[in-house]
Amino acid sequence: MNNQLSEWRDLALQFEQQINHTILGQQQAVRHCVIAVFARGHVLLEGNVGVGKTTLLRAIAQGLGGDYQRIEGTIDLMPADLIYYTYLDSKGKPQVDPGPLLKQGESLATFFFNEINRARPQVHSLLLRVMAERSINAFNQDYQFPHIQVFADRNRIEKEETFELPAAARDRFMMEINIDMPADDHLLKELIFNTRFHDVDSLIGDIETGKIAYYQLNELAEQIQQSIQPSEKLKEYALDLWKASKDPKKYGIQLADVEMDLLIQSGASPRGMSFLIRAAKVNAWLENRTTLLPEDLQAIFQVTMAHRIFLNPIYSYRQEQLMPELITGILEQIAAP
Amino acid sequence: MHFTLFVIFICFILNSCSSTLSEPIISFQVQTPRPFGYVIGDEIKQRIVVDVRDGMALQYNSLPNKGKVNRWLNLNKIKIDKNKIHQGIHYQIDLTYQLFYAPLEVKMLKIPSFTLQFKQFGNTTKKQVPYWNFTTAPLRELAIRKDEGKEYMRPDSPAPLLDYTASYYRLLVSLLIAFIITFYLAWLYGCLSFLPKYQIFKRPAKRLSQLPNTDIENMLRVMHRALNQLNGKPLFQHQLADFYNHHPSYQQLNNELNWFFKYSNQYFFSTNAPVNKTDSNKIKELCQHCLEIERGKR
Repeated sequence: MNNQLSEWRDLALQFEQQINHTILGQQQAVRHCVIAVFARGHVLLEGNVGVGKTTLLRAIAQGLGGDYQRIEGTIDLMPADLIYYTYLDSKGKPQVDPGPLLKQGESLATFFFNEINRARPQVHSLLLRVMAERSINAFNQDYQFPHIQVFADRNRIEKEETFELPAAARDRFMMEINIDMPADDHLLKELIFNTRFHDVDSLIGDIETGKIAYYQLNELAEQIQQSIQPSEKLKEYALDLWKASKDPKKYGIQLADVEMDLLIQSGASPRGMSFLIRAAKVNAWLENRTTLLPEDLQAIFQVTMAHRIFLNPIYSYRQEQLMPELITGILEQIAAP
Repeated sequence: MHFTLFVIFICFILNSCSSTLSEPIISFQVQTPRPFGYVIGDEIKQRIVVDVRDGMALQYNSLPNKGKVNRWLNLNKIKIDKNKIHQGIHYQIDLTYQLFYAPLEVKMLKIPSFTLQFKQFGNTTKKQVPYWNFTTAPLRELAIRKDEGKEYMRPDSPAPLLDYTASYYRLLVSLLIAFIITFYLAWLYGCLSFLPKYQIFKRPAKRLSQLPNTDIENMLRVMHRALNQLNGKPLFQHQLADFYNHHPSYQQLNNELNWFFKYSNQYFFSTNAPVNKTDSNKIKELCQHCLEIERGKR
């Protein structure tokens, strides 16, 4: 590993440490977010209300530096609201100003979409293009956002007045990370009683910003991807994982009370698998390895794959129970070599 | 008053000179068993109990001699017990006769009498043991005639067997319990080497010995497969701690297992896989050590 990558790795680990200092008991979620940052993938956070999803994303945005915009998803939000907004100025003249997406131009580094499932499918479509192509078309011209990274969150408590993300939009997210409360009583007490965690703004403000130059991330990500090359055996292992996600029965995976023939409606997409490998390479880089190992794939398999596998509607009401079992079953059934 | 005292004194003197004191044999008793129902070969026990005055000694030669008494009677055993008692000496003489008379009908016989002799200061006192009558019966059935088509002699009917069903079932249950306990102990101590659980590394060890030392890839695969089978799912290096929780006896191979996984990772997933001549031996050694743990020898 060359010196530059080593230096960046040290910075990345410092960045991770800082966030872990801010967000307690979420080491794994933080690690996944860090991987997504250096793999240049978009992240969707899911979890209960008040567990720290927004704080985590704000902490990451603060740590990364660069321009930052956020928007709250509401049922009447339309795509145009992201691009521009109109108003009457002090002289009574109508004015058109750039919306959250266009306001920062190319320097927009982090776009945070809060409660994404409250927005309508039209908004999801716009976001789909932003995430996939890092550009939009407005006012008869294309706008590029080369450094944009989208973080979105949704809570899983409310289902009313929400719009489920379409499969195509979910597939654009590199990772879907579940945030749960820490299980450790000591951490919970710390979260409740330590006043440091009561004021989120000052908590986020403590994070050192700009150590990682956001405008260099694309180049760095490319270097990471080029420096780590998988072996043939690892490619076979990844292929087996992929095939098992499409046809688990063929690989001897059996879940309780499930007709395995009928379980899967659609397995992971090729784009999903490429995200898996990108993220796995970043994991290897963070572990200071130039060799991509099966454990790198295993480390991010759940977060990169679970939202890309679609269950048959008859099993979808048990999705929250079946999906982790299926992912575990795949990882515990596929051997390497 | 003087006269009364004189009479009492005379009576005391006379009492002291009474015959009971001068009698040399205080008591004499012959104890015999039932006097009927004897057949050829039966033993008859006769006990003579004699209490004699102190100083009287039984003359042992006055007892009948051991051996043949007459044509049909044998004296098999003579046992004499001599004990000191308050008034003198207590003799208990046990005589065991055996009958050899085969009568054709019920017949009365007698054990002959004999005279016991006791000696004291050269004087001999005699006491006769009277003869004793008893009846003996034929052992063979003489009333049934063979020419009438009846069986002249037949063996006794066999003794009825005791019902041993309950004991038999108890034995079976006990054996079953003993077997289960033995099986359980053998399982605990890892002696059941025929179980699949104890054969995970048996075949791989054999297979590894057959593979050429240069075929590292297949050696690694064989070893990985065995470890996966033991773990119940694919085992990777980062899962070793969890593996040791379930199989603590393999903790002692931590260094070897870590080397193996590191080597395997390098071999399969690194672009520059180093191959050393001794690597195959190390893999074989690891398998052998695993086999020893599996058999409870480590």
